[in-house]
Amino acid sequence: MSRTALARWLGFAVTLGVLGYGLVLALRVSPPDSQQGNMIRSFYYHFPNWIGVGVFFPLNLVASIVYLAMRFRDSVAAMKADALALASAEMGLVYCTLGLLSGSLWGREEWGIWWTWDARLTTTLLLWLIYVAYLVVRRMRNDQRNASICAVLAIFAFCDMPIVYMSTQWWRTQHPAPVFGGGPDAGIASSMQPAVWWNVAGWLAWGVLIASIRYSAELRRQQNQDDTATKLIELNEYEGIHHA
Amino acid sequence: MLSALGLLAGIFPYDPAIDTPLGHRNLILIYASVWIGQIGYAVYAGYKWAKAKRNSVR
Repeated sequence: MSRTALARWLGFAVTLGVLGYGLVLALRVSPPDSQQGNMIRSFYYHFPNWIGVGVFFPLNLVASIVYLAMRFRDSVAAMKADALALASAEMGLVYCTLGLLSGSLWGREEWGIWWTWDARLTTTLLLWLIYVAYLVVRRMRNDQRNASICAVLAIFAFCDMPIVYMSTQWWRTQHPAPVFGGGPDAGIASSMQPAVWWNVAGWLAWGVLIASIRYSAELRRQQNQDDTATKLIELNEYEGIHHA
Repeated sequence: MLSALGLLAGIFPYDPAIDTPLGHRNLILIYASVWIGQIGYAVYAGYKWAKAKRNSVR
């Protein structure tokens, strides 16, 4: 077993341990809320998804910028950046999908509605759609030109992120203000904090682990594609020499 | 699917004085959807990794 595989299995075991402990804290240790009852436990599985979005979409932006900067200078670094851009976009989209789904299920109980077209939810749905479009465009062709188009698209896609975050302050929304930086009444009760942070840590570690596997897969696929192209060029040159 | 959710129901705290049946069901669905979604994507990532490894061996 290679060192990377061993580190991944170790990381997987630790992550499952953290997630298991987080689950116990969320369902058994943390008290019910005076207003929402046991439904407050939704927060422990809703909030980590948005932390995941807040980590992986910016990572996609950084990787895309690095790809654009490196594509003509260092092909290996550019390939790595492009693979990271794909892995982080997919992982971010998984978090975004689960965040929207869990929010809708929670909203049905607390607000009486599955969905509302307020600024927070609408801009978040737009964010989800933009990253779906990004991944669809990536799948259309596997060449350097398409990778460049996708990297530019990723920069535009990220422009929606600050709008999503600020939407509750810029407009009057059904969705409450952010837990952090959302004004004087923002924040979480001390009795909720262990359940929140263990689940955030667990799901974030999970995301890093899975995104690293996806990154390795994409990097290897691109290297295989590169090797095949090199062999074809060499074969063509060899046949050209012999025909001449 | 419904019977699986029924099995999970006992794990999730429910107090009829402060909770509604709909809220209890949605709470289970939130936890189940997060686990299913994340494991589903992990399986997809693992499949892609195995496929790329197989192709590089050839």
